[in-house]
Amino acid sequence: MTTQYQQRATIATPLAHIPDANQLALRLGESAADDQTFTAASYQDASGNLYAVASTVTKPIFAEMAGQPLQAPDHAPDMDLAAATRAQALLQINGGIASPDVIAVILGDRLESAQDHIAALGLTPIPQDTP
Amino acid sequence: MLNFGLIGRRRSDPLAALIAQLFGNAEQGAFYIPRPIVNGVQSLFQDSAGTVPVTADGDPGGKMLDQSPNSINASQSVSAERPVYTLANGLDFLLFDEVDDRMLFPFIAGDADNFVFSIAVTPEVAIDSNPRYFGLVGTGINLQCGYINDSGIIFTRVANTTYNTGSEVVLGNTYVISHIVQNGIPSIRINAVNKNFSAGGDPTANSFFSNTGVLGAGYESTSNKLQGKIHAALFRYGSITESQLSDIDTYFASVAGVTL
Repeated sequence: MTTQYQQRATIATPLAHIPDANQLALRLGESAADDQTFTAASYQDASGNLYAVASTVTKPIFAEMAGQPLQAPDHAPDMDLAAATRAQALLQINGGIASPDVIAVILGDRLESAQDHIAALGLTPIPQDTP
Repeated sequence: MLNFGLIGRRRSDPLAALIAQLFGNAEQGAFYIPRPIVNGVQSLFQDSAGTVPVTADGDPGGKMLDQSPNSINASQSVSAERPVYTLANGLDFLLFDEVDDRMLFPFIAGDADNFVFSIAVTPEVAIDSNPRYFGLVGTGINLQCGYINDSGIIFTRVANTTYNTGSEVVLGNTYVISHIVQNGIPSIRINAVNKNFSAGGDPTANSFFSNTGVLGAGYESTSNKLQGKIHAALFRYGSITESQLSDIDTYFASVAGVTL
């Protein structure tokens, strides 16, 4: 048996675009809870801009849907399509480092690590105090 | 002779025996084995509702059934936060990506003075002295959790105090780690050996999950999540014997490929 999840996507959402990106995640994801995909902005770029990052294995249809007109999925019929469409317009897939004006995505093989993707996005985690 | 070879020759099942030993007297807790099928029952699912079974290496894990009689199932409803079921070198585990993966289960109140949280885990990274959490069971000051820092020090938090070992763990290797409280006295056991430890700070618990148990993380919405593998985990309220701890060590080592 081979998994259908053949890719890993790591997505860097600038702080200002988190609400719209969560609506896009609701469309591209598989769960009604996917509007909680981006929460805390716990990564930063070299300039100190803040990002919420998500990383997950995906089916190939993820990339296909990301470039198509959006429709509400069965698991979220009342989603905010306008917000999702705004986020979709900001998608930059395998286009280099993150910046505040785009939602940068690294899409690669499923066995690639999230850490390699985050490095390719030019991001580092914001240090946390030891509890 | 009919039934020759069957009667009286049924293999003993070490998992069933361990579950019966630990939970046979209505003890509270849960026992997780991240394997698609456990004892003939589909036990790992791609979605949190438990409708799509995990069947292949690489599938996301959205729901993991509790193998104890308590039905405290672990789940993750957000697609991106599901760890990945992996089968490698004959070993089953959930792979956590450090970014957002975690499995959640309901907090169960119990006797915080008599408790064990055991985990078979391969921690792979701890950066810049930021600890990485294996898991968390509890709430407020009655919090039991385990984590590691980049020096291979294992921490456990019990009530409102942190305890830590010396540098015991090499990142990338696999260990069976138990965080134990008996009669209010904590101890830390690694690969069947009780370790020396010392009391640390007096932390607050405000930013931890509330009323939620977690595997693969500790905080609700910050970093400090696990990058690594979880092969098995359990928590259980009640007194525990050395023999029971030894059986946990033996079983967890067997599923994680650890030589004790």
